[in-house]
Amino acid sequence: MSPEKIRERIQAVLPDAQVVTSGEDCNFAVEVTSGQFEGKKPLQCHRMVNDIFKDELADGRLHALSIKTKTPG
Amino acid sequence: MSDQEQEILARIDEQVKNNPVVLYMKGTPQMPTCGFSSRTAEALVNTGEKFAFVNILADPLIMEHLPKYQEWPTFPQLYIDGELQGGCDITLEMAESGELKKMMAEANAKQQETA
Repeated sequence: MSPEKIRERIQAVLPDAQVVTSGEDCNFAVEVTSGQFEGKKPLQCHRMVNDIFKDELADGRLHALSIKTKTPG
Repeated sequence: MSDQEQEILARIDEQVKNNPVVLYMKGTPQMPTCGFSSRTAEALVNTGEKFAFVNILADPLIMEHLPKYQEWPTFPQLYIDGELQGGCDITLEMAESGELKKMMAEANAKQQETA
């Protein structure tokens, strides 16, 4: 998966998200900043990002997705 | 859901509820076989608190069905006091804030009281 594709997929669900990616192929790290994480526990925020890549994580197209979630400001 | 799947999910549930702190990981804390499992186990060891672990590579059925248990797609997975905390990233954040040691200590103390 390309970094552009990762960003597009996240922004389709979280339109306000700022997405910074690093890593390559099937092993990515993303830092996502979105107002929708406001007031949520880390587990819930990570779940929102994991859910976007549910199929890829299940079938191994993505082996690992390292996630950092932040709120703006 | 197949009988086998139900049986495995029941086994996971028992492990999670019977251990105050349990880490599902690839390999062991001494011999981790994945970078994420390695960093997570190290964070737990560094708290000095007791924890249980399950080497999912030694138990392929658990590895296959664990993602369905709490709808969490990746490994490692950390459970404290019966509740999923998250994977490597969240555990490291909790370790940094000091929350990890606190939660582990509380969960361990709670079990001793009831034992």
